[in-house]
Amino acid sequence: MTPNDSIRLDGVTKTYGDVVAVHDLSLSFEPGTYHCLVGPNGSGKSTAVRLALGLTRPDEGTVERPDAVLGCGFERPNFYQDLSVFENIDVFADLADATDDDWNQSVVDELGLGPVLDRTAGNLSSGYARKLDLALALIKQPDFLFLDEALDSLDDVSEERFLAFLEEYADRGNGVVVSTHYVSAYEPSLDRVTLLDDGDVVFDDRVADLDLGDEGTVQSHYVETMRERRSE
Amino acid sequence: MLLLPLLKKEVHWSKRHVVVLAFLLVLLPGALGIATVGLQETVPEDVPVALVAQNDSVSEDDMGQARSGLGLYADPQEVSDRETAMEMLEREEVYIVVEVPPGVLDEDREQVQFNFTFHGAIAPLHQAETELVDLTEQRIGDTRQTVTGDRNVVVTTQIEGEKKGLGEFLYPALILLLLVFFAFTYIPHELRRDSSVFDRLRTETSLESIITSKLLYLTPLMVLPVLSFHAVALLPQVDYNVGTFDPVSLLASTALLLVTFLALATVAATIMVLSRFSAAGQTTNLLALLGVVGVSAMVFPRGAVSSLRATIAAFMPTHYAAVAVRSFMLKDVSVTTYLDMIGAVVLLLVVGALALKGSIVYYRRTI
Repeated sequence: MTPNDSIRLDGVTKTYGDVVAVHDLSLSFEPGTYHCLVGPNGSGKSTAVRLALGLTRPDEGTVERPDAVLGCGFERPNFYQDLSVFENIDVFADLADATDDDWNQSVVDELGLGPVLDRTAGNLSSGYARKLDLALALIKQPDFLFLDEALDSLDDVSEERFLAFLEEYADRGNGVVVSTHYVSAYEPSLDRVTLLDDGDVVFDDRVADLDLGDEGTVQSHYVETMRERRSE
Repeated sequence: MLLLPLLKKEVHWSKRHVVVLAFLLVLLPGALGIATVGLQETVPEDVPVALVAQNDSVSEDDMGQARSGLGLYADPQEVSDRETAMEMLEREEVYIVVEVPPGVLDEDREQVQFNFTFHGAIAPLHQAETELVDLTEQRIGDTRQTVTGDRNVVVTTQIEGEKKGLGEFLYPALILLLLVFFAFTYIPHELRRDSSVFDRLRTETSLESIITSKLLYLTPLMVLPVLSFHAVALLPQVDYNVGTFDPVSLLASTALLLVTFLALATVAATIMVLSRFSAAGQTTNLLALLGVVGVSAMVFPRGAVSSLRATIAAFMPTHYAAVAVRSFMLKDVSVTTYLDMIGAVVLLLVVGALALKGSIVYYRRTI
């Protein structure tokens, strides 16, 4: 994958009834970049991800997707409730033509799903449900991995391990896009941050280029920026 | 007292589910009320009947007397020859073939003899044979007595094909009803349940593929209830002859049942897509189920339901599916006799598939 293989949203507007989810949004997601979409609730992060994945069509503007494999961890874990963990992985591996058994096993091991492979997915705890959702996003070794509030419900050890995995995955040339309103956990590894608010881009910069000022961290910079916008 | 906050919660819930409630509490009872229009007569009132002249000497006046005599319970239509009338009997376009004798009001004739032919498979009609014959003899006899002073009207009867009991007659309709029930309840249930994983599925494949795969899997599965019915028919306590060991009958009836299921399943799936796989979609499908069953005259012959229902049934492919499946299972008939009826079901399938495709395109554009 080269930078030319980016996913590009160009002048995209999407409304749901009277609510403008994103407005004239232009954004690109690049291979090998660890990219964070940050913003408060209702800022348009999830809509931007859905537009990039092709799950939602824009009312205006264009979305360009290269011929790349896209994976997604959803805010609400998305899998067959009535199938077991193993059956879910089996079905989605077949659908995505994910035939690399060694990789699939490594994903199961990395996420600690081994002990619950035979359990009905609908009966999983929220933590394991999250892990299964992440596993289904990863088994196809996506060129672009989108994760919407992916750390919710993960215990501390699992979170630490998964974050290390994500960093390595981006270093291997894959695009990793995380959508969150709490950027701290991802911060040490991020390449790029986009702040969305009310469907508009507030800033979209490489972390190295951000003027973090006195706050010192991306999280505090984001919070301070939002505070200033709200007080205007 | 926590009652008020809880009642307030119910009001909030009702506001959020106003569409479902409107269906359940307003439209559904209304539909059932309308459906009772079709139940207004319990005795056959407009049985389609073919009138055929016994020979060339039958006059228009004779045919008119026959029409008048049968009018109490039948909707007679003149047919040019017996062969055509018998084919209509086989296709359930008519349920009795009445052969009209010459000289119905001719005082020189000592006796006029009508002949009624029922089909052995249509149990509700041939089981009412005595009543229908008596009615006809009395009615035409009254007229003849007024004109000639002599009643002397006789109706002879004959049965075409193997005579079936009411249980055998109902059997094909019950299988079809079961599949109609599955199409409008199980398919929506499956789609609604799987909709929670549609986002992930849609990153891998199209909604068309998702729904098509479900229909292609569930349709052949419907062979199982059909075969279960046939297995029960073989039990000594039941012992129905419903074509279980006739390969053509079994194949034709099962294939048409599956096509009918698939056609209705596409309709049910269309409703679910348009409702975005919501509970309102399931309720709408329930309403559609009641509507289809209510107006298709699938169980009893068209002559045994009101003329309004019979008129509506004539436009329902499900009615023709019922007639053809019943014929394949109960009568010794050729499949080609029912090609137009099979065509009506296939047309429903095509229209259903196009509607489903259209609903998916709309869904994609608006989600």
